[in-house]
Amino acid sequence: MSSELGAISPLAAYVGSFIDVSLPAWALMVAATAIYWFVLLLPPVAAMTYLDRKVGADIQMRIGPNRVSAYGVFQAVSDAIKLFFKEDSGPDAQEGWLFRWGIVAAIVCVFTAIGNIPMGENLALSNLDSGVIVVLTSLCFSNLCIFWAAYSAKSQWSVLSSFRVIAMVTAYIVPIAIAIVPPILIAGSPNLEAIVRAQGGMPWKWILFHNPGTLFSFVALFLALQIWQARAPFDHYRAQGEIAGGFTAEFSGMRRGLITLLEYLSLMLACMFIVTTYLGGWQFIVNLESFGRAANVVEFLWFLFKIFGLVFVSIWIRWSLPGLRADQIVSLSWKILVPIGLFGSTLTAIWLVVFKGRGIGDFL
Amino acid sequence: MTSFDNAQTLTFNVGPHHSAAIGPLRMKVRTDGEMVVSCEPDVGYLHRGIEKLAERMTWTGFMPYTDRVDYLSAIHCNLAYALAVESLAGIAVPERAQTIRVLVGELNRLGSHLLAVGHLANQLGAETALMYALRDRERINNLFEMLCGARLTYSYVRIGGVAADVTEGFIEKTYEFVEYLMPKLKEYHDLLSNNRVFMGRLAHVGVISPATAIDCGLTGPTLRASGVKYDTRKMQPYSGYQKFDFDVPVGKGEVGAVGDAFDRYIVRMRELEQAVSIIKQALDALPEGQFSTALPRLFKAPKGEAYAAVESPRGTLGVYVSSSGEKNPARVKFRTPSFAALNLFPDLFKNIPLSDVGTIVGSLDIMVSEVDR
Repeated sequence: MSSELGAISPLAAYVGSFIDVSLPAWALMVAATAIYWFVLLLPPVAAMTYLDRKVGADIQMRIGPNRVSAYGVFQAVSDAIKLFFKEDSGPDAQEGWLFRWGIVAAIVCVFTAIGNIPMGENLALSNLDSGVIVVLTSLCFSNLCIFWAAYSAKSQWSVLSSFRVIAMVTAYIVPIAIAIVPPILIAGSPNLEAIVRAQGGMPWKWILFHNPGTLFSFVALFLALQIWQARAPFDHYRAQGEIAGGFTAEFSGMRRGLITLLEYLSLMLACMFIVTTYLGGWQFIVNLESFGRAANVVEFLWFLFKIFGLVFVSIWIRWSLPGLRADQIVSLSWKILVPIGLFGSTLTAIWLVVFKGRGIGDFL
Repeated sequence: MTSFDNAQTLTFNVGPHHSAAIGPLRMKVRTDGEMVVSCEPDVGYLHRGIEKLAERMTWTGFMPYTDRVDYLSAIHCNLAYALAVESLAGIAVPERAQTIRVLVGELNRLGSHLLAVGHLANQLGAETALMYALRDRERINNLFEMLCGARLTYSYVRIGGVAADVTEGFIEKTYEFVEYLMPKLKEYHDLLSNNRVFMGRLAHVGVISPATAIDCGLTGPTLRASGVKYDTRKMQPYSGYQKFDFDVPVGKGEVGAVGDAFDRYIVRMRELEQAVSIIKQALDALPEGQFSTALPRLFKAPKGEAYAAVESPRGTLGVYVSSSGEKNPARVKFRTPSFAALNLFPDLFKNIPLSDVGTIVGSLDIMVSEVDR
């Protein structure tokens, strides 16, 4: 049974391997999901919120959070408690359940995508052969859920913001779909585990440096995922200066907190996806076979280290640049990201044929 | 416009409270999807009746109220009122007072322009630039606090001169600040002027032709950005501005068309450099002497009327005073540059995306307290 479960959910099988008693598969899945959420995912996301505030404050020559515990480390906890006790209000004409559950549904979509990404050997919640496809679909669906929430809030700003959400789908999904082709070609499968296995721990074994073309598609993927996250400078549908925060202004209390959670989960997903497909995933620089189970911890931390490198770049971009206008985002996407993504994919395909599937790293 | 068309448009009340607005200015914007169909400015949310209040005040007692006409350039409002009353009563202002007036006026201009540039960037979502601007403006506020105890509403310029002589150490601190600011201006250019995203947001946005600018009565950086070289400090010099050597930057359409939002931004940035140069000259050439002429305890301006104009950071700020020989003015009227800029709104906000509304308002540097008075 264990091997069957391992094929579906490596993490559930891994959890099962720690206990002697044989538990039903569903119990292991529940345990694995809880561990994935609360042990593997939420601490880095909380750290991310803290990093965003502190680095942002540093860029703006402010101090940032420094009141809750030493250096304000637990500011996020304090904020969450505060938000839970705030009044839950909404606009009068709200469309009931769509308004209330839209953001939750978007978080579910993002989590669905994250669950496919291995954070270490055996540390993937699900192992689907169509991993990349599920991630791409979830990206689109999360925006559809945001659209529901925004549209049903029924204020003018919110309605306009919901139109902008849908408009942005045209800007990011095509570049992402094109830029994800090289890893699939190189690994020979859209399975994310297979894509990680196709790479190595050392940077020259990463798909990023597989051939000159992958550098281009990496840039296209990174920027397109920035557009998807709608963080500044691509915060077109919740721009403060233009549409007064868009739909986010209609949510109060923990519902507003969920939007923030969604924002950081999206950042996490984007960085995890890029690290997995282009930057070697969880593979450590040296072989960890002698470490036994401790290897998982090392791989997980190494994976987080790479993620936080990308997170830092995202934060840097977010606090430095002015926002782009809709037409500028779309022309960036269609005039720059799509062509360089296509160039990268085509070059990778030709390279694979000419050099019989070997990358630059294999010649070193 | 049929009712059917009406049903296809969305009406937005941009303001009076908007997350990126500088003051309570309400704009009724009708859009067709993203594109703006019409825009009506609605003013009066900050009306305090300052001009009417003047009629119940003594001539000298009205001075603190002028601060509130434009609280970001209080010195210029003080100065315009003082100049008008002085020309009405024929009061001679000592040389030292005149130079101090130029000095503090340019310092105030630095603060106002920094904030204008910062707020424009903030409208576009670049909060960091606003923080930079606030950092540097803070030093200017500290200088003013040192000079007169106030950080925003100074009432430092008085009829006949200034309230008090410069305090000990003010001159040195101002030298220090000027030395500090010049290299910092490069930071703004790195962060904004040479930033392609910033250029892209401002180029070809809100283009005002020279003819329109003149017709609407625009003045100041907004007019000069349209290529019209008009500066009150050059055309009708006051407070001894004729003795100072400075340029009047005009818009050249460097990244877009002449008179677009980028030109208005870059003209302000260049005026910062000019203001620094004027401050340096004023510090070097500060004459000895009195800082004020003595006025009688109950000052009464002679019968008659007078008008004086100064170049405030937003343009020509004029004050008209009329006296019936009493201890209080018969009438005071402010001619404010921001109010003139509102004339543009119906024409300027047409067939532009909603995203550009904030950009254009930010680039016009409208001060709502000055619009409403």
